[in-house]
Parts: sequence; structure tokens; C-alpha cells
Amino acid sequence: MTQSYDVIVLGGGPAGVRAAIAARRQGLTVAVIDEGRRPGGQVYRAPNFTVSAADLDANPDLVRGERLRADFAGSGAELFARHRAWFAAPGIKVSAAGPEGATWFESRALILATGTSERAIPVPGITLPGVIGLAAATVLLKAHGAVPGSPTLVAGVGPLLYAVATSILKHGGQVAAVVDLSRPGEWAAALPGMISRPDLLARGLGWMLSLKRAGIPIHHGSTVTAIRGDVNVQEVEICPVDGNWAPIAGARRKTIAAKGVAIGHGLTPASEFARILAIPHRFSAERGGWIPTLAPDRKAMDGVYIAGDCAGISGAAAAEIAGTLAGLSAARDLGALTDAKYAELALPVSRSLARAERFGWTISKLMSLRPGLARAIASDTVVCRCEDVARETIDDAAKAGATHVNQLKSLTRCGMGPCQGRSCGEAAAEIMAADTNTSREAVGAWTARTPLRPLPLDVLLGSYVYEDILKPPPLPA
Amino acid sequence: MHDIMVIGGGVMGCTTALRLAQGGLKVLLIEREGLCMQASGVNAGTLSVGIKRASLIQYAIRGSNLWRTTPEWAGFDAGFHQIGGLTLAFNDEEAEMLTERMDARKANGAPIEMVGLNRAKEIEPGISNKAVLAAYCPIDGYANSNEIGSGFRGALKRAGVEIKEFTRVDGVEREDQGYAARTPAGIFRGKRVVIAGGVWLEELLKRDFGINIPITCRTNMVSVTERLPPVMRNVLGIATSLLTLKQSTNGTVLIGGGWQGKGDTKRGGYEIVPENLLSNLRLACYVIPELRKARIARTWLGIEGNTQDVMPIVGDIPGSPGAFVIGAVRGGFTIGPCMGMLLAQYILGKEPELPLFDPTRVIVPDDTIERVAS
Amino acid sequence: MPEISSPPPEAWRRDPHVARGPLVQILVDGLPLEAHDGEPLIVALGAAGCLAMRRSPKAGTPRGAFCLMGSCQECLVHVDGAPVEACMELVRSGMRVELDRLARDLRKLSER
Repeated sequence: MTQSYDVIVLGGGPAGVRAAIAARRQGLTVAVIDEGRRPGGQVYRAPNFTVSAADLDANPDLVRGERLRADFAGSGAELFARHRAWFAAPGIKVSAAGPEGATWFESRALILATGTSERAIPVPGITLPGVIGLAAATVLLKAHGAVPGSPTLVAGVGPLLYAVATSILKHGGQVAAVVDLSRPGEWAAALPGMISRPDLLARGLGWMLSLKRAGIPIHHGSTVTAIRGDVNVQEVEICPVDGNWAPIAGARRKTIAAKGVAIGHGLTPASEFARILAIPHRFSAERGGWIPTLAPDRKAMDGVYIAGDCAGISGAAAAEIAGTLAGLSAARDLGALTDAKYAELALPVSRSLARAERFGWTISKLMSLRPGLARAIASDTVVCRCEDVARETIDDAAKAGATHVNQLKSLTRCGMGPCQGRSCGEAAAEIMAADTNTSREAVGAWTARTPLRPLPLDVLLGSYVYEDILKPPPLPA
Repeated sequence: MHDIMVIGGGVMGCTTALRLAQGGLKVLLIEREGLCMQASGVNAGTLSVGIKRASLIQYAIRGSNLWRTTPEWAGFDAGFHQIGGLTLAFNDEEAEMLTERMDARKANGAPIEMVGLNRAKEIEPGISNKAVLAAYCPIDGYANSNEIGSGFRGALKRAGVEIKEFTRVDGVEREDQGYAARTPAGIFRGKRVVIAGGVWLEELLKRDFGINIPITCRTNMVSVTERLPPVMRNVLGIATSLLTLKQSTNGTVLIGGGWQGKGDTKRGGYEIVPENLLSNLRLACYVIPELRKARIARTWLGIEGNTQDVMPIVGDIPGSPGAFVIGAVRGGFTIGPCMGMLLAQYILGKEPELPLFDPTRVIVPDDTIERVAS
Repeated sequence: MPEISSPPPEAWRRDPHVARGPLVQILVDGLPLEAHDGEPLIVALGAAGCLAMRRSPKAGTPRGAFCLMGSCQECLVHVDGAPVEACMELVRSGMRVELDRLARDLRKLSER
């Protein structure tokens, strides 16, 4: 019933796959647990359709993804696809729920490579059907070959804006406008950091150029202040922002007709398993939020290693390399690599990691959340989607004396719904920090709770009879 | 200088502080975290008289009534719902245990009726057909444990209690005028002091009062489903008390029963024990088969403390005049407001409605503790 | 779900140049809908202009897919009686999809 491996990897994205390959190459047995059907994670997500040569020509991500999948297939590491890890404990024990029920694992090392969540700071109308995340748009386009409601307004921050807008055009959709919080000067200031990866820089510039050529309006230094529509999206209001990303009072607002919206305000590490394992975290706005503390060799605690964006946003290129390093470190600690051999293998990896991180951190810094955006959330705007908690309810909780987001949760149910606060956590914490006149460090982070994502009891429990159930001696009457 | 300091802001500390303030004292409440964020706030909120220890039935009946009447004595609504409680037995052995335990509770005044499967299914149509016997207690129900912290915060402020949250007490010392509590926010003074430190009572009493009352830390797991259509009406349990199950008004189903996770007084609850969790969930789905279609949204851990005889300690701290202790109440959420009321009556110089629980009985001499520890 | 000859502009659109599985029929609230075998259920629904999956539990406002990666829980539907995220579930012939009643009402409204 319990499957044993030397190494369990949570997450089959670039970091997880490279970690698995590196550990497997040193003779260790490796299992990768991922909820997707094929390796690749979100950024290299495997298309849901047959890939043609033309597709590959047009899309370097697809090429990278296919290479990642080919390397994984040849590695001898096992993939537990369509499995959601719901439990992990030191020791190491892991459980994952798949289509056939729960699978239990034990291992000597655990590598966390669980990626990111997208941050979306709410505006009025963001819950309208037809408004999707920016990262969601990349999934829809890249993996599903479909475009959102057309024309689509693409809004938020970071290179994803331009990737998504370009991809919408390529797949036959229309783009109403790109609304970018960053100003051209901020992009220019990021150039020196991006030169470390000229290939990626060139791609980004290519996106911008093709949008210019297609005549797509690009509104720099602006944000969406409202999405309007009765049942579906009809129009989007935008407004220039100040250096803190606060909409400028009295500035002229512009209304743009759109039938769909893709909106995202950067990425935040999905480090829930690191939190469940009680690995200490620190707050780093520039790396996307709360990040687990770990050694340069990716070790975070005995037997546990962390790689990729879940350790701090650094991008897909850095994730692959950090994954390799984590796999090597696990192999060393399990005795599959001598210290000398490890040093020889890890040195070049660490060097290229530094280059890739320089690029990734530049982007991450560009996308790091500024306080004006969440402060501007209107009183009646819903922040917590699951529990319909509006800004004013959060303000009231702060007024009532709540100083920590866990208190906010128990007072208001904000973050207590089935998404466990993944959708609203960033906005709620920003509001709390503003309301209490403190900081993100002070208001803390929500406690992550098993099973992280809703888990069907039918799948988890399997079939059983009454006599099978453990029954410890009852307490005294 | 306050008349009295209450250290610990769970249900016991909050109700004691509130009653003392209502009795005319100038009260300071100091809490290490936020009000009712530990066991008081993370328990499943079940108010079951029908499954309490027989000797605590009268306390439980009063406690449950106090949750019902918070608008009158505390000025907030604790979300009390009286929905009835049904406790099931699934084999002869359990039926015998159920009968025996319920007889003892009935003898102490619990309004319990023993019923067969047919009647049980009338009371709760969704239960498994495999139950052989049930006990029905119509006064059982629940309150919204996760919202009481804000309720008490308002009530205490209205009553004039000064509240210091997120303030750790590093030591309590006896002085000429009473007691001084050292905290990172400064030293606070009160003529008298109440120690309401929950599962941390052992440490606090040892450190500040030099007495040893061993407290066993129990780490209870509680799970909740996502919102569901109505699947049940009552608070449900089983003869062995290893299950509590109820559906809140918001549609979520809470699953508890004292199944153990890993935890201690240093770290709190820190790890799920999956085989225990699975057993807890399997029991729940065994009792209400429809639950199998649901998804579990969250499991969390709360720690509570038990004395060696699994009975409360409420009363004077021996050897420290003007110092009192309250806590270690199994079923503390239901009974807590009653204990707070009784201790406040005592401190205010009145005769408590029900007897207190003298801590002297569970004090273990120092050398015994050291021998056990080594 | 009736066949919609020209989907409304807010509907998602499948790129016609992308090769997909054969067309199969699924049932959405008892009405037939054509979809490609093996595509994500959310694409089948979105392409039919059915963007609202459910309503929020307290305010009752319409909600649809937001994250498309199984995190936000906004696209929760029931398939053959079990709760599933429409973005993670793949289309298979004959699957019975049940949306929130409000979404059903909204779609009826938009069809008029």
C-alpha cells in the first residue's frame, strides 16, 4: 500500500522535473507527484492538442517544454500524474490523491517544487464571469488552444502581459488594449538585469514589437479601476497610477469596450507545503511575498529541499537550474554522490543559476507589489471570493483589534473558504498592513491547512467496513 | 493598579474577566495571542451535554445555557443553535457502553432518551442503517467557536476591561500590594490574579507559583467539508465519543471527536496523523453515508490540557493568596462560560452556584516530577 | 444546452487551427452540448458562452473560471454527481454536468 522511493518530488514543473532527473541520474529512485497529466507545470504546460512542427517553430516555450518532457521520459523517474499531494510530514511521508484513490509514499528526501500562485488584487467587477487571471490566460492559450472573450483587455504587470496579448492575436482573438502598471522607464531600468539572458530579453522585445505592429493600444503606468457588465464583461475603466500604483485622484479615466479580461498582478510563491512542514519563512516583496528560508544548496531542513518559484519568484529558467541543484544536493545527502563529485557537478550549475536568477529577479522586482494598489480597493469590493468578504469587513476587523491575518480569518471567514486564501491572501494582507499601519511582516501569513485543496472523501477513504476503523480506547466517562 | 489581572484570553479567561468587571472590579486581561485563538476558537464548537462526563453534566447544562444567552450577559450573539444530539452504537459492545454511560449522565440530570434505529432515523434520516441503539439529547447544539473572540473583545471593552492582546507574560511575581506581570510591553500590576493559561497551565503554575500540576497535552484534529446541501440536522456522535459531527448553518460539516494529531505546548499542533484523520473521517462517513460525496476542505489542530484525573482545576492557587487558577476542563468549550461564572462568583465573595474544583488534589510534589522526568 | 449557431462575443473561441479530439456529446443540466473528446470541460463550456458555473454562497453573484489551474475553486461543477473543478476535468462522451441553478437561469436569460 505504501510506495517507497529515495526521493519524492512535489510538482512536475521545470524545477521538479530537473530535480527528479538529477537525482535519478545518481541512481536514486524518484517519484514526481503532479496534478497535471504530463510534466511541464504551468509555464511549460503540455498542450492538450497535437503539436505540429509549425507550433514548435513559433513557440520557444513549447520547444523547452517538449525537451523537458523528453528528458523526463528518458530518466527513469516515475510520474504520478493527476495526483494531488495533500499531506506531507517529516520522516518522510507523503500522500497524494489520484483518480484511483489515495497513494501513500515514504521516502528519504523530499523536494518541493510547487511553483506559484498568481496574485490578483481585486477591483469592482473582477468576479464577473469572463474575467480570468493572466496566468489562466496562458493556460487557456498554450495548453487549450482557445482565446478568452474577444476583444480581451489584458491588464496587470510583467512580461506575461505581452506574452498573453501576442498569443491571443496568434490564436485568432482580438486584444482591446494592454494596461501595464509599469512605465516605459521602469522597463528600461530593468534592461541591465535582463541582459544576463539575451534570449529571453529578445523574446520579450519581440512581443512588444508585434503588438505595436498590430496597432494594439498599450497604456503604461495605468491600472484597471473597474470592470463593468451586467452578466458578462462589457467595458473596463482604467486610470493612470502614481509610483505606488495608486490610481491618481482626479486623473482622467478612460473606458474601453471589452468582452473578456485577463488580469494579474505578479506571482507569489506557492510554499504551502513548506509552511505545513514548519520551515521558517521570511517576507520578501521582491521575490513575491513570504518565502521559505533555505541554504544555497536548496536544503531547507533535514531531508527537505526547495526549488523553483515556490522558494521565491525567479522564473522558469532559474527554476530548471535550481531543480538540478536540489536533485544533486539530495543525492549527496543520501550518499549517492561524494562531496568531491558533488562539488564538481554543482559548481557550474550554481554559476548558471546565478545568471538565470539575475534575469528572474529583475522581472520579479518589476512585478513586486506596491502598496497603492490594495489600498485603493473600494469598501464594497469583494476581496475573498469564496466567502464574499468585502474590503469594509476587513477594515472592521482591523478596527475591532485584529492585528494578524489569522485573526482576520477567524473574525470574518476571509481566507477560510475552499481556496484557503490563495486567491485573496495577498490583497487581504496588504489591507491589514495598511489598516493597522504596520507591515506585511507584522500581519503575517495564513496558516496552511491540510489538504490544501478540497479533497473528495470518496477518493481519500476508499472502501472499508466498521471493523477496519481504528478505535483507540475511549476517554473516561 | 488593577483590582485583578486575568492572564489568558480563552473562553475561561474572557468569561471570568467579564463577570469580574460586571461585578465592579477594575480588570486587566493579558493574552499572548488574540482572544480565543487557541482551543477556545479552533474547537468544533459542539455544545453537547449528552456526551460530557457524568460528574460535569450540571456544569455542561449551565454552560450550554450561557452560550444560548450571551446576548443577555455579554451583549453578543455566539451563534448558538440548539439542534439536538444523537449518539449511536453500532454493535452490542457499544450499545452496552452507551447504555451504561447514558444512565450515569441521566442520573446527573441530562435529559437523555434511549431510542432504537427506527426512532433514530426519524430524528436523523440520513444516518446509517447499521446503528443498533441511540441516545437522544434534545438540548445539544453548537455555537460558532471561531467568532467568539471578536464577541468577547466587544463585551470586555463595554464592561471596561482593559485588554492587552499579543502580549506575552514572562513572569508573575508576588509583591506587597498583590501581583506584577512582566511583559515585553512593560510591567502590569493587580491586587489579585487569575491564571487562565489553557494547556500552558502546567508551565505557568510551575514557573510563577512553584506548584506542579501535570497537564497532559492533547492535540485534537478537526476537519471541515466545503458547503453542502443539508445532509444532517443533529449533532451526531458515537458511543465511544470518538466522533462529533454536525452541519453548520453555512452548509459546512464539522468533523471532530478528539482524534490525535501531533502537538506540544511549545509548537502547538504541528502535524496531522493521517491514520487517525482517516479513521475520524471514516467514522463520519459511516454514520452519514451521504458525506462520502463531499470534499474535505481543511483539517486543523487544537491543543487542550487534561489533568491526571481528567477533571477541571478551578479555585485558589495553594500558597498564593489572591491568586486563582481556571482551566483543564474537558469539554471546555461547552462548560467554560459556567466555570468562568463560578470562579468570578467565588472571587467576588459570593457562594458559587456549583462547587469549584480544588487544584490541591492534582498537585504532584517536585521530587516526583523530577523522577518522572529523568 | 441548445446548439448555439454563433456563440456570443463573450464566449471563448477555440483556435480552428488546433487539432482536437473527435466531437462527442455531453449533457449540461440535461441539455446536449457538443464538445471535443479530451478537452478540458471548461473550454467546452466557455466556447458555448457558458461562463458562469455557479454563484457565490453568500452574495449569490455569478462566478466562473478564474485561475484555470485548480486553485481558485470558482469553476466548481458537478460531473456525474461529484464535485469537480471544470478546469481540471476532461470531456468524455456522455458525461453529465450540473451547473449551479443560477448559472442555468442566467444562460436561459442570455438565450432569449
